[in-house]
Amino acid sequence: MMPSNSRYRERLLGLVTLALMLFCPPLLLVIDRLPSVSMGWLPLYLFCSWAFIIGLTAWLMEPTKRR
Amino acid sequence: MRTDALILSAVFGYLGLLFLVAAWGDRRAAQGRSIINSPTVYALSIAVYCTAWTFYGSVGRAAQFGPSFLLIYLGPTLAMMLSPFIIRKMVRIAARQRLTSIADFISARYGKSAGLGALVALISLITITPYIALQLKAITVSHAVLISYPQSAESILYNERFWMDRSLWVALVLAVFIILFGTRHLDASERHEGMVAAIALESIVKLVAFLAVGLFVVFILFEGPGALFTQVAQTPALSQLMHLESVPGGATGWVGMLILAFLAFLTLPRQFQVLVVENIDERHLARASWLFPLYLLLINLFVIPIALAGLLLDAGDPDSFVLTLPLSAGLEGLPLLVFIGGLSAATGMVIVETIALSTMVSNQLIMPLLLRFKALHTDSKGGLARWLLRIRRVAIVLILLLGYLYHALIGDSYSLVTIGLVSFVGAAQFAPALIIGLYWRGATRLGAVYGLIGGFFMWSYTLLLPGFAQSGWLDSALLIEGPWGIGWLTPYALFGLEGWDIYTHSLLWSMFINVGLLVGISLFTRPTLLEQTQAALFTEALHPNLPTTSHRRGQTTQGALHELLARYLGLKAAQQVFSTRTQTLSTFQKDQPAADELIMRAEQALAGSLGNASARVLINSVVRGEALDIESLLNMLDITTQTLEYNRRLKQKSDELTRIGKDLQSANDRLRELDRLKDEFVAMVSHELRTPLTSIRAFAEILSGSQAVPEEKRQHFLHVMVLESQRLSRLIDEILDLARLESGRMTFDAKTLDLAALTDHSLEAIARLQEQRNVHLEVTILERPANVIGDPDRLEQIIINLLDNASKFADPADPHVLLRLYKQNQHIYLCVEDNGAGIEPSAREHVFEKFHQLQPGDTSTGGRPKGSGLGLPISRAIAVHLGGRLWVEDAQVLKGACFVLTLPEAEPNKGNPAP
Repeated sequence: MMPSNSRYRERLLGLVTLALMLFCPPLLLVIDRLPSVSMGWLPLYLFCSWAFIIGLTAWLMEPTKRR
Repeated sequence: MRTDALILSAVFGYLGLLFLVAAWGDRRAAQGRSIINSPTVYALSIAVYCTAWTFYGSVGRAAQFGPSFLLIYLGPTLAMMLSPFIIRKMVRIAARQRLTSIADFISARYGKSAGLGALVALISLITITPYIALQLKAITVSHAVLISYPQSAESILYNERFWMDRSLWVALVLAVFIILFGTRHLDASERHEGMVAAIALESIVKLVAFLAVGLFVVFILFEGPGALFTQVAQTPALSQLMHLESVPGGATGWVGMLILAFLAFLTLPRQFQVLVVENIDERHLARASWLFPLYLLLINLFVIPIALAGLLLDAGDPDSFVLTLPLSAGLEGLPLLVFIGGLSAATGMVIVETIALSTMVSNQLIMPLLLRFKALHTDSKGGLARWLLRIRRVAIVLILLLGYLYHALIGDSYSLVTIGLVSFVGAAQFAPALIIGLYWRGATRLGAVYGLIGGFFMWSYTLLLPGFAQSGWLDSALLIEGPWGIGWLTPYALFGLEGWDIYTHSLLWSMFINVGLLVGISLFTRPTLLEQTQAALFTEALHPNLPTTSHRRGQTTQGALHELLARYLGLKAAQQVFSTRTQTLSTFQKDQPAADELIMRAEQALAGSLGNASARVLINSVVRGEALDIESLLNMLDITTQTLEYNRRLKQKSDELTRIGKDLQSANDRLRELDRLKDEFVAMVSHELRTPLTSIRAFAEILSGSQAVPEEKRQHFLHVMVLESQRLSRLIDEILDLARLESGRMTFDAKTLDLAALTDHSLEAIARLQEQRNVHLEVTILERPANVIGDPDRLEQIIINLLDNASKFADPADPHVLLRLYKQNQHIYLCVEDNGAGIEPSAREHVFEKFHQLQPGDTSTGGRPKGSGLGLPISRAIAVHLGGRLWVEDAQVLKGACFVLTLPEAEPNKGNPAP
């Protein structure tokens, strides 16, 4: 099920890098400083990117007929 | 309605349910029908990560520090995403070597060192016991809030005697639970299925409770998130809360906390227990790697709304918002559900953490000491096994009591409130030895020991000591002026590093020292043979060819080994080790030497129960000549690595050869085809040349051989000879044209010309012939001028060829030919139609083949060949050469065949003027 091929490993490492970039300051500062009416975009952004990363991980990890 | 009796019956009813579920899980496991052999249950059991500190504390943290609480859950998300690289390796090693705790794991990595195992166990005990206390405190406080609301819970907490404290009784019930389901077997690596089932249930309960209170707050207390956030927007203090500036330490604090949560998730003893020890199948990690982060996301979904709502409504202590908000609305059932949810979060953590700690205490702290007493070695059969279980049970009770005492005695001090994150940093000290040890073969035992001690010291100095100072046990001047007034030694701003979040600050310095000592000392120490072997087995754990056979070359008898196992593990366990598929107990012979594999199995069995370091000591006591075969192991690993590399290269070459072979094959096929075509062509050319030549020769012979040919006949013969000669020379011209076209030697005099004018010219040239054939020719030219780029002679050759063909193949009775010229899509179209029989769609491409003639048998031709069979191939080759196309389709008007020539339209003024 967990394919050990290098393609899969590369994709996973790419995804982890993406997650790191989404969850870390440079991007976070940009989101935090967006003009907003209520309480800022940061919580919404964090939850959305978190859900997005979880979705991609599920897509990558779950064995389907595709792989 | 909210009476103490009701609450107590709910609490103990819930704990009773846990007992039932655990008993059921154990029974199913005994029957071989495991209920926890599922990736979903595995993911739920990992959710023991969410303790009471999550359940109550997340809201409190969000109310105080904005979105920083999320980092505690983003770190584990990253760790789970990396599980195929890190956790899978740990699971595989632990299963192979029967390792039962993080202390056991680290000690095994560094040469099965008893000292290192004891050190890890000791640090765990110091950092984690307060964390257990925190869970018990959460139960006490939440119970007090539930009972005393709307009065403050403080009065109850102060006036209560300790035996009245509900958490004491909960702790005692938990002790019974853990003893029943955690120490049933001696072999800790035989997993605690019932306990895991109960933990999975607890994870569901706390999630449901938290979602329930979240939905209540957002949709009932506030009529939806819109209403809530509108109110927040009107309160300036709150609208600023969810920004990065509320996070302690800002951006640095953010990253530090993310790293901290990542490391702690891998090294907290309870997480190691559920992630690695209780893992049944490493394939479960695939599901858990996203399902567990999803669980974390769900349980945090309503944290911010609850925190904001609590602050808006001023619902008291933020840590109790989840309880006080539904209580303030006058609800009865929901607060009880929330309380049970918090209870499940606390008890889940206490159960798993206590099992993990008690295993460490018994195997890493007590066992090595016991083995020093000779008296125990001569004890009766299985004596030590019983001893060990007793030790573990006593350890469980002691750990829980220690946790309770910590809570009861110093429960309200600062050090307990912040102990969650303090524990995280403490547990993270195992990360360098653990993670670097998994990937770097050169890390040595001494490096790990000093790294751990150094990291632990830094942790104590930068977090524990200041905590004591804030609790009033030390002079608080320590925090401001530093010890003995030395400013740069201030615990929260070491070496002048000010303005940092205290946890990030502590993590930085402790990791700096820890990793520095581990790497530095490792580089300058020489590992023992056993260390080298273990290092190789750990770092190469995912190596496909890792040898699983013994690496030990020692000698002992089967009898000695059996006696050893029986003495320490009991007869039953000894029999299990000796009876395998190939060897039954009946073939066991006392005086025969034990095979290497048997020795290894015996050591594994001992390691699973007593810890790997003790197992090694015991095996060494009966095996003579411990000569670890590190050389052959390393060689095997290196050779297999090389072989794999050779194999890979060989496969690459072989693939390449196969591809080249295929290319050659297809090239060969193509050549054969061309050769065949060439033969066919030569045969056909010869045939075509011979026909007119034969006829010329025949007539010439007649004329030369006899004088009796009448003049009229002679004239006819000569006329035929001239015609046949013309046909011959035309054929040779065509063959030469074709040869030139195909070889690319044909020269084209390409220029811009008017195809309409050229058509007029061609029509004039062919007019007489058409008259002779009595063809009715109709011409429609819609585009004038029709500029194209081409060679006028060659284009005229095509047009005349098409018109000639059309008149030949038109209906002989009433021949009609239609020529149309028009423009479409920047292309000039020239169509020549006839009213003949047309060409079957399947035969349409054949007419462009060389020497293809519609055969006499064809109904369309009226039984005679009408051309050389080269006109159309030449025309098409010219058209293609000029960037156009030539094809056949159904005639739209005359219902015969329609030949279409298209050429791209040209700019009118480019090149020479039209002819």
